[in-house]
Amino acid sequence: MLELRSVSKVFGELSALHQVDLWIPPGKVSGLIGPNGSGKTTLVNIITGIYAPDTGQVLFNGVDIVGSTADQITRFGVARTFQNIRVFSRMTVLENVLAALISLGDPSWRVLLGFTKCANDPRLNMALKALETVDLLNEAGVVAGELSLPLRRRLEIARAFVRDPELLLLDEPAGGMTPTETANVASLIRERIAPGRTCLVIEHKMDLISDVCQHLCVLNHGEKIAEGSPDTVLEQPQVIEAYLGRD
Amino acid sequence: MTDFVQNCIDGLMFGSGYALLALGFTLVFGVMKRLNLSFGPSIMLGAYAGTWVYLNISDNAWLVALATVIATIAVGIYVERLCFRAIRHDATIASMVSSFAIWMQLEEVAMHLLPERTYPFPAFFTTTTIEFGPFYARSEHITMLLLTLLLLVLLHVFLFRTRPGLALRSVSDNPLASAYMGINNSNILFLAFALVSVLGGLAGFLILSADTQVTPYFGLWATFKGLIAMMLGGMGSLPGAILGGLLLGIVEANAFWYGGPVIRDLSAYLLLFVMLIVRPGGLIGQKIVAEQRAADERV
Amino acid sequence: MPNEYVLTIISNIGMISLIALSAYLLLVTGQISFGQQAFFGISAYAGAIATTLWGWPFWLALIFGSGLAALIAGLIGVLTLRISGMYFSIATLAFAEMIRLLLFKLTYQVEIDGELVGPNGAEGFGEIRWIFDHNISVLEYTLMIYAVLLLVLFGMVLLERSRLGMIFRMLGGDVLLTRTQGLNPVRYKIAAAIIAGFIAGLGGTFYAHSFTYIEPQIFNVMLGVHSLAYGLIGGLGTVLGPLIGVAIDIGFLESIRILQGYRMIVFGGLVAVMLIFMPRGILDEARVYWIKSVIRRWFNA
Repeated sequence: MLELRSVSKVFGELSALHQVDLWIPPGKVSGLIGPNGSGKTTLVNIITGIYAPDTGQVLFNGVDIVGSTADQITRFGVARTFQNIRVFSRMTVLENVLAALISLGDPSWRVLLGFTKCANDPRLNMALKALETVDLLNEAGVVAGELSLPLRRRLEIARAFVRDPELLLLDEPAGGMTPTETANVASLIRERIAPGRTCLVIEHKMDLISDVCQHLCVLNHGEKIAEGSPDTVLEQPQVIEAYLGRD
Repeated sequence: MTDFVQNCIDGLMFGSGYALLALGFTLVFGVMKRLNLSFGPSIMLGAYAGTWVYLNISDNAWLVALATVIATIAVGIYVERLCFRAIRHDATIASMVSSFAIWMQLEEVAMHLLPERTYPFPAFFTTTTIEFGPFYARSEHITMLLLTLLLLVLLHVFLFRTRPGLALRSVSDNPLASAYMGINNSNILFLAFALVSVLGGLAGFLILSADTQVTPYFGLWATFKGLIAMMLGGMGSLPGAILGGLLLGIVEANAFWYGGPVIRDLSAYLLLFVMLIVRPGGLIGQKIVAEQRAADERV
Repeated sequence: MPNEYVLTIISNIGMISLIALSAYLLLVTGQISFGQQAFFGISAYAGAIATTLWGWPFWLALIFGSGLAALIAGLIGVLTLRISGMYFSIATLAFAEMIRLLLFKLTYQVEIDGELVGPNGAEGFGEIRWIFDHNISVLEYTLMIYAVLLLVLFGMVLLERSRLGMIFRMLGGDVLLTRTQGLNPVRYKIAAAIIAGFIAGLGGTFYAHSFTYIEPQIFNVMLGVHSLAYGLIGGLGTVLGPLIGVAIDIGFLESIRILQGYRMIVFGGLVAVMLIFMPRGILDEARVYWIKSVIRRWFNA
């Protein structure tokens, strides 16, 4: 599904990623974990085309997508949320989700000049269904900028999976949330989003990861230090050391 | 060929005036990351105050210079309070548009204060022509160039050898960290504006006394020349401002010689337009543009 | 029958509304253009040349002038694709000034009925007499302007509801986010530039024929900043926003005797204050949603 080979990225004098190899298996929820500054977000940005790696390949279904633009990669079937939440804050919740559906099927100018809220439009139904899945249907008419943090994260998630992407990237979906809210997000992902879909969750909160992920990959200082099932990975000494420091 | 070199010499002279104006823009931009488009009109109102003093109180050039600078500072404070302090730090475009709107306001105020078309300004220098070889230069221009250099040296000393200067530079570099270190950003902003107003006032005084008159077009003119010079050299770079000013002077002098006043102004704008498209960072400031872009796209 | 003075004000509001809508459209896509007056001016000269020097019918000249403006606007849109924010705004300013200066150099005169007619550099372009030669009254001309304005408004309302309109607003919100929704901003930015250029052009040709005399100095930065200010004051949430801004300036401020000669001071101050407290205008997006929901509830009750 998604394979990274020897991906490296340097920002000025900072080596953010160094020769990272990664394999994301299809149909499961994978986790990308590591302490802050380990290069997780850089990796996600490279996968989604925000910037290109200095070396290495990113193979999506066998095709190298390095050099593709972010919009092309989204059209290939990769969707993402953002660590510091990006929504169209002056548009309503429903419009935010509809926005994600505009580029579906590579629309012609005729489609572009059509109305966004036609009753028979399949896109409208897809959007409403997505909102229902994340329990935001009641807030459909609320301006996104007025939502609380947990609701905004849910909106981002709805916007990301409404296109039924092949690969769904969730960048710190529980960022800034209380333990209760984190548990809610975890169950949302586990029960409603993940089934039948390939997900990559980037997190540094262990409770969410162990609740949701079936495959783990650990980064530290821009290098991959472990990969495998959660049980094996979380027992490894270098992983424990990365998080808790040496004894 | 002689013509070309002569034009370049003239251009350098004029360019020093542009460089001073550009420095004003650059200092404000460096500290606040926002453009003050009321800069020119502020100087013009300062110049009007100077001219009033000249006509009604005394024709002592130093007094006129003082009046010009003080009035420029006063207007600068008004603009700073209304367009910059009152607006959110990251709403850069809002501040720019606001200062543009206040420029409209200041122009009308100027028209009411002094309704005639032109007013005399004291000649600060004596006019002689100095010749060297096949080239010549007017003495007031040379004096302006020398004074500009002197001001630049003083500015450099201020910024790099004094504590307020250090504070100003650190706020330009990283406002958040500076705040954590106990530097009051608002005060620094105020200081920057005051400093810039002094620079602007002096620049205006020098330029206008070389010209010995002030007209209502000066405000617009000063803003655009300073802006173009700054952007040519590189937004936010002090040496860039100087280079940009000199470059603008040289381009304009030659364009004027070969094409006339309209071609001169046209060349200035064309140069700016092309520079913005091809290399928005100007001669020196490409790094700043890259940093800005990275900051905007931070994910 | 309203008197000519009132009709002149109304027709001015109509024409300036067009350039205000032009700046508004770009504002909505997140681009602040100080240069729409260039397209207003290009179309003014082109349309006037068409009727006065070439004898074309007015409506053809209108399309010609606006079309030319749109074409050039598209070209500028392509050139400025890679720059944004402050750099873009200043580039539009530089371009508009270049056009104004080029108009100073434009001399194209043709002999008609023994007289030289046409643009003559700094001396301007007079005798744009199409309205008088065809006996169009002030009322009729005002109606022509408003017919076109209403068409434009109708088109923009449709645009607002369309997917293209949504893309414009997305670009105005967050360009990077728009990209990650699978949309390449390039073609949409160019489309916005072309449409905005065309609308400004419509205003320009009307303007030239209304005032019968145009000169380069008219199409200056002041006009550009005003067009921006109208949207910023009236509100960026609806096409009515810039119209309100124009009405406040030309309809209200211009008409108050005491304010004669102080209009800019008041207007400039108003813009600065609005930018502090209501940076997206009176009818900003949030307020428009609120108004719509109130109307919906009222109809359902």
